Amino acid sequence: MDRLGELLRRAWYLLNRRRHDAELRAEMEAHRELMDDPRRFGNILALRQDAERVWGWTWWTEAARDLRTGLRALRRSPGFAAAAVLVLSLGIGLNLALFQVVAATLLRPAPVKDPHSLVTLHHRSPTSYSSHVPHPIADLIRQHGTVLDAVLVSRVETVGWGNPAERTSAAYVSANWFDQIGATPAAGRLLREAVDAAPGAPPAAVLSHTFWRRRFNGDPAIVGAVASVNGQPTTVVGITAADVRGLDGEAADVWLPIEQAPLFRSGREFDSGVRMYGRLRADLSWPAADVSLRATMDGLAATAPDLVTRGEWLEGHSALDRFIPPGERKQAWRIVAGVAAMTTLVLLIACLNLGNLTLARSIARVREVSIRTALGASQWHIARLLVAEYAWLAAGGALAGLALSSGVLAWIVARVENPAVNVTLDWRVVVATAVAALGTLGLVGVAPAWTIGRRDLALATRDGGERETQSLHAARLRHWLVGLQVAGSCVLLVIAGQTLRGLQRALADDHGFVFERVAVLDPALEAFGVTDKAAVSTFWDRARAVVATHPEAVQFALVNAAPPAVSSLARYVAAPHVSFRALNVDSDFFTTLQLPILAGRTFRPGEDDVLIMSKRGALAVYGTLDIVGRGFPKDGGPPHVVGVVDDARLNGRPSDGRAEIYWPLQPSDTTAMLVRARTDPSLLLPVLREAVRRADPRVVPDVRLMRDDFDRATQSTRLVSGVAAAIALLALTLVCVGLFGVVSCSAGVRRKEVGIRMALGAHPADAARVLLRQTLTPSALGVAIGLAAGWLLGRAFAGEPFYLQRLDPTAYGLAILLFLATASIAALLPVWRALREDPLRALRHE
Amino acid sequence: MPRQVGLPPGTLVMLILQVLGTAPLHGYAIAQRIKQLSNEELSVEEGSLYPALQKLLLKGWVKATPVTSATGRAVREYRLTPRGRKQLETERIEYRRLNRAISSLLDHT
Repeated sequence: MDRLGELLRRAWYLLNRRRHDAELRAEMEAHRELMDDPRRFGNILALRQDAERVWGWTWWTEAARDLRTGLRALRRSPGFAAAAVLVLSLGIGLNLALFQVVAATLLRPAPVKDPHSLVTLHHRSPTSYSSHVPHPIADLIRQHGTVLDAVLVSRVETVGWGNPAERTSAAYVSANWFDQIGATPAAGRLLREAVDAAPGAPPAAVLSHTFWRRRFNGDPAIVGAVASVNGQPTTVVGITAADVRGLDGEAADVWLPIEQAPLFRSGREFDSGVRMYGRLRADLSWPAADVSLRATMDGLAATAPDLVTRGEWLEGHSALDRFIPPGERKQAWRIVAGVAAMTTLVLLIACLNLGNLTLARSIARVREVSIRTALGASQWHIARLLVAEYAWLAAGGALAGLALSSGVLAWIVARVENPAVNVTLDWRVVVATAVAALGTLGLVGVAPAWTIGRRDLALATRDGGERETQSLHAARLRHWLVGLQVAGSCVLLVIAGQTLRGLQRALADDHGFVFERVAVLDPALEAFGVTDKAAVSTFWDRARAVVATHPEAVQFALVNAAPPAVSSLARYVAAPHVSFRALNVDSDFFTTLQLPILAGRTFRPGEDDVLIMSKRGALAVYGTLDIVGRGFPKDGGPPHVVGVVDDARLNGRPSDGRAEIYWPLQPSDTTAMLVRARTDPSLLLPVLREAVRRADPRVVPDVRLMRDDFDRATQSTRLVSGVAAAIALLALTLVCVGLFGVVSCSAGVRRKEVGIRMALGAHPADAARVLLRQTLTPSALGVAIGLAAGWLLGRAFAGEPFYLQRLDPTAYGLAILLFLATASIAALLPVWRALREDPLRALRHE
Repeated sequence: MPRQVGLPPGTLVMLILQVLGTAPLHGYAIAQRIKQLSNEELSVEEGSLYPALQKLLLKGWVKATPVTSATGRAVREYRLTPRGRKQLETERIEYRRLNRAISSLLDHT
């Protein structure tokens, strides 16, 4: 009680301090007037300060005063302050941006209701791994499982919307989906298990918010209207809220109940893989549920052996981890750690730059500091004054950095289609900002304050600070700072060089084949009920016949996947150390895309048991391009190699060391047709649509330009490389400015010494050597460390998403050249000035 | 002018509470009163009076009210609170006990 009262009185005092101060002063003055000998009262100001100390707020007053003084000092050199805040905001902003991305992707749980009890289930066996579970198995688990309160499934497929039909993507989800993830409608209602999963329920569709806005201009009257989905009249029952997305990041325009799938898919259920999620029973943790689920799967292996094989199980990953398996999380964290090492380095360089700059500034202020000391300021007080100055800089830098990172991220997110992450400010980011500011303060402010503060500066007043300045410069701390900065700068220079080269490669349009003049026909036959082999072959025969007659179509080919959507990766027992991108193509593929055949020939129609390999594959497996007629594996076969073609970037990404392998296409496996135009591929789009209409009117085709596909496919790589390159350029600028500052400052301070040497008759070259040696020794050490560390980091970033080359001689050369140029100009400029100068002037130089 | 002695350490708070016990006073008056009641033997340094008064305010033992002094100045008059009166009692007992102990020690020859 006493304590609390005291605390309240203290707080009350702080709030009314001005009045309290005035009263105390009046009181003391009255006291003095009443005294017989007023002189005996003493200094009112000092007495007042003593009295006020009792209230315990002195530190506060002093800190506020220090901060005010600091601000005043900064206002006197606005150029320095602005430069410092700018440099810090770049360094801090970069780190905060990384943190915000990490917070959004790795730290926050998936945006669902009760994330702790929701898991995604992956289909595992000792030899296979799939993120999709066959739909019948998911159904069996729903019926027979005992640990899941609910089973959710989803599957994205193409549908034809409206009449005439246009292609849109639909997510077939179990009707309990929206209830389980906790989504809300923007209008109407979402799917409901009791209504839409019931036998004989009328066809229902929910529109996504973006589709509703794009296609219907946000017209609420669409709710309750009947639309055609794959020709099936369907009621639009509602629209999702704007933030509702698929849990696997796929964006769908229309949501349909998977229980009604046969209505939209010519009577067929889904029998292939679906994404599967489970809501754990409230009293169960995942490990317990895991045991029980395995038992259920074992039971199913006995009762439904045609669906479940013995030894298969379902592996769960929690919504708390955003459904990401531990292995991938680890991978992601590794990338984050690598990037964080780089961004921290940028911040460190920024801080070192500033540290050196402020050190130079405080050295220039030795005179001011020594006058303060002479007036009775303690060294501790001086150090505090300096720290107060840096506190403003750090706070300003942190706030500007936060604004910068939030702004840039918002800008990037606005430019990405269907951003899967939601970058927002939350307490984590605020804490991170505070930590960044404090860390920066520690890095920038404390070292110089300590160096200055602990010195006896009384002497310095006499010679204008020259002597103290020199001994400060010789301080070991400064050598360390220079060496550190040079090492860090070198790392950044190397990484920056490699990143810029990576960007250059990513922007290079040379994929190894012609894609600019190619149009793609992608009919998604299965979604429209064209499923059996004969029907597929007939469809393509008819379509081909139509396209062949058109004068704009020069050449066309059939494939089982249209580049850049070639995701099939294969490793063969025949060549276990080579990873291949595999594609099935017909005989006209290479001529259509003008992919040069280096040896041998293309496939012949109807040919089987043959293959064509890319140059890189041939060299990796056989060590030569002369492999036509050889078997695969090397000393066996069939199959036999009939040709070798040039390397191609089938997925549009920079080379990742994978080779290509081409197999003959079975007509019934065809999924897409590629057509090269004589002049303009967009002229082919109506031709392809017409071809499909004549081949099978049920099918709503997707026709597009391969150019656009490649643009989309490389968008993220270009974005990442672009951002990385911007960071690299930023680091480069920081590094050069910093190096220049450090080198020229430490050389400049010794002008007087050079003057003396020159006056005593030293040869200019010797004098120059003295100056340069001091700078170049720590620099040389820094360069060695920097190049080694840069090599290690470059290795770590070789893969996704940066694609740096392991040992890029151009990047290294660039880095070293830039470093040498900066360092020598910076070092030589003051030397040159010092040498040119009249020695007498240098001697008088303050 | 008789030679004035400083206060025995630790007694200032008690003395202030004591003189305020009879009537509310302002700063100068407190000093005067201590001097007067001690037959000019004790004098309070201005340098310790005001910090002590701040401490009493902080502890809640006295309350200050603005009044006008004899010279027409605005000053604060300090008045004992119930808590302050209790504190005075405690300090008085403590001091007497200590005093007795010291006296008995000094009387012992």
